[in-house]
Amino acid sequence: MENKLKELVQAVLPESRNKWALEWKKEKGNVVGVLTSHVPEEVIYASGMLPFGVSGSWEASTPFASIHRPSMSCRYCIHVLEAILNGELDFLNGLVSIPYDDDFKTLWYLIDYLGKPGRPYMGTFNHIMYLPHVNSETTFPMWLTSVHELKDHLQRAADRQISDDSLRKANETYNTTRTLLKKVYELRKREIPAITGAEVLGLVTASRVMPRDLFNRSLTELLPYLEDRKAPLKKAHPRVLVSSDFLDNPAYIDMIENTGCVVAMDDLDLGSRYIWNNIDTAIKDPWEAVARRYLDVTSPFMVNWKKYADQLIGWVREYRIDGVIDFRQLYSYPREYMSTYVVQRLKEAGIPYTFVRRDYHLSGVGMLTTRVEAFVEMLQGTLSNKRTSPH
Amino acid sequence: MSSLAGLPYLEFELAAAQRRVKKIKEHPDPLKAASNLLYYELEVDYRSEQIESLKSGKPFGTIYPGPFMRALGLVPWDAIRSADKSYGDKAKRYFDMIRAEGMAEHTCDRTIVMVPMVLSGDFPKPSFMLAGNYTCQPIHLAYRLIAHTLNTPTYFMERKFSAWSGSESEQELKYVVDQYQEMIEFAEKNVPGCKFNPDKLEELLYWDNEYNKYERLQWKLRATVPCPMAGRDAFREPMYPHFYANPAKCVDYMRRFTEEMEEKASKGIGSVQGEERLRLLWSPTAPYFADPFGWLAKRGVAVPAVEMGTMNRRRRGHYSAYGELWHGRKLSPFEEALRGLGDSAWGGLGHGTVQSHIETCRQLKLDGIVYFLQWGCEITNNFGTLISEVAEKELGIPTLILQGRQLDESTFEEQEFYRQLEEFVDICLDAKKKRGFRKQEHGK
Repeated sequence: MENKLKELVQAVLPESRNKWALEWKKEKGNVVGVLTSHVPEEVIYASGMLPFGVSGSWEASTPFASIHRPSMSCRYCIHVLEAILNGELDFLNGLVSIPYDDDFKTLWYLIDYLGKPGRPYMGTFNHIMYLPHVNSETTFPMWLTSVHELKDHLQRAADRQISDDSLRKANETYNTTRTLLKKVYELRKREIPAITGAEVLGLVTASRVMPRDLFNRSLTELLPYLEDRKAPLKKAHPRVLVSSDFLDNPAYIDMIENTGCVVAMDDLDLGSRYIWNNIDTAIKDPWEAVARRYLDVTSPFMVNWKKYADQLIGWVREYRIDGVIDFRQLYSYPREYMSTYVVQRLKEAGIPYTFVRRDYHLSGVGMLTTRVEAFVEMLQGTLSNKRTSPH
Repeated sequence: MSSLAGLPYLEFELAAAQRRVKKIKEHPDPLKAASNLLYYELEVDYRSEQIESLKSGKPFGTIYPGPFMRALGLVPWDAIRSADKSYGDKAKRYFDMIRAEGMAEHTCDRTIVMVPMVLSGDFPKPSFMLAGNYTCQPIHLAYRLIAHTLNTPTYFMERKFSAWSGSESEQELKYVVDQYQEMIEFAEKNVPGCKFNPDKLEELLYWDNEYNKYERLQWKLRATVPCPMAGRDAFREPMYPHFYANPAKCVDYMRRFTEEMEEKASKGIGSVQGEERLRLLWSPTAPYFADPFGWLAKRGVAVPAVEMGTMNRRRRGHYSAYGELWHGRKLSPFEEALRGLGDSAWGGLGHGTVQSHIETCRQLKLDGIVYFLQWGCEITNNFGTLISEVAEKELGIPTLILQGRQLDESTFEEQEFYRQLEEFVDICLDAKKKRGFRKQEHGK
């Protein structure tokens, strides 16, 4: 079982992440890349295509992308462009995204421009969705229209219909993934968690590159084993929460845990925020159901940062977290701006906090380790003071 | 924060504008536009209104999109324009605060400088904020941060960006209109002193449209060789009539400025020293602490236009004029004020931005593009190479890509900056010559 866990946790590594997609392509057909966790993958899945969570190139050097984009722009976007231009993503039939920020919009336009001649594999399936920043009854109808536009687009591209029933089934399959992964998150609440933070990130990202049915079966088999497991950690305290976006490399979380702490909870778009809310299958229209779920997410993209901070503070309490690491990706501005407000809220709530800027690909490990270590030592000091204090 | 926070800033700006008016009256500079006097008088009016409003407790609201905010009884809250003036030591102070607080230090300068300016009380607090995805992202992120931190009543406006190509549909216009109606109700309920006046909106639309008529006339004059508009004037961010308590005076300024341009154009007087050797497009911004336009003018290089936001589309008449039929029907004033929002290329996907550069170069007969990659300007700084490729392919003109910041001087290497400009001028002159030869040969 440990090997099975390892296989899932390592699914997102460059040497394995395309394996299932290539098999799918050979046996079943189209694979569509998904650029953010805001895209309702269920619609793609319902169309009979494989939604594939796109990682950028994990290499430090981005020679092709650097021709088009300056280094001081969203690092995930640069590494995605590199993966597109260096051929890593040649097997994709297209990409679906939302305009997460202006960097995503310009990435999108560039892909479209470059994808015209000589790259017929891109283009046909490419689609960018409009997602409102506000969840309200005024914006919802337009978002629902946007979801239907995705449906129409995929139907045209794949020349097949997406029925209500197939979407209902996809909604259930994705709910199963979220429910299973939430059980894994429950196991993080233990004094010694069943699973490390790095392993959890590996599991969630595995769900984005594997066919869902297969992932759900594998995780279902694995859960009883995890129930009895104790994570191989250097130290089980302090308990840290890592907050970030576009963080898909478990080695970053490993680096944090190696400083002598446990990442007992995360606030990641490819972690907790990816799985937190299920689709309400009681809603009769499956299109409305899926649309409501994706408009009701917490994200730096969404306008309601108060709700975001409330959720974060709630997790800190629920998972008995000692400190929060805001692990910002360089040049990703929604989080950069939002953090100033979130810090204010964390301070008011008396929650220790630090921020560290990181690249998308793993780099600067020495410098990052030093900064995280200093924070972890501070937390350890606070914990030991609490233990020895007569009060 | 005191209710009079920001008063010293406004008083400082008022005094600066008053000094400028006095200087122009006492020592008029024949090389500069005479209408500048009116421009600075408008600045005096503008700051005076803000000071009186702050003292009397009138509500302040964000400046985009202005006619609505004025019609709601809000006084323009122009923190972003004020941040533009914070270069030099002032900027250094704000960047120190940004870095110390762990704020977004690599983003667009003007938008992040605005944040500590407001949060520290150097600039007045807004009473109501209207943010939206019709602006670039750093602006609405900064607005959202200020609103969350100061607990300011805020409405976030959505547009469906798919209309960027200029094909806004009825459904998309209705989407925006519905939200504005909701926004008005929200502001009237949550902001003391807010009351929507539809007649005021109509009046402001009239004056904005009159202003736009002169913008369109000026656009034609900019195409004249030699160009009668100075690069510095082309770089100036427009102040629309709705910014002012007296919008007619603003239109009067535009009229007089346009007449001066007409006169210069009819006499063949250009804006550069000596013969106009070259005409460049500058895009989208520049270091505010330097003066590349003056430097270029001394070398006979005109900059008839700066490509920033969607202003040039407006000047070219991309949007239909007030009162014209839209999709075969007459729009209500409410719809008139909003129809351009969905169609605005700013904050869109890129097609509109790239095409606008090409169209400007074509219409104004430009010989090259200086593309200033400003740190953190996500909406423009990934298009440098693309615009360069398209401009070369479609117009045969070169592009210089420069990298730098708007307000933070710490990364500015003056010598290198001007060395690159110097080389580029030579490249453009050479390319212009070759285009001339090709034209002659083709003609033969």
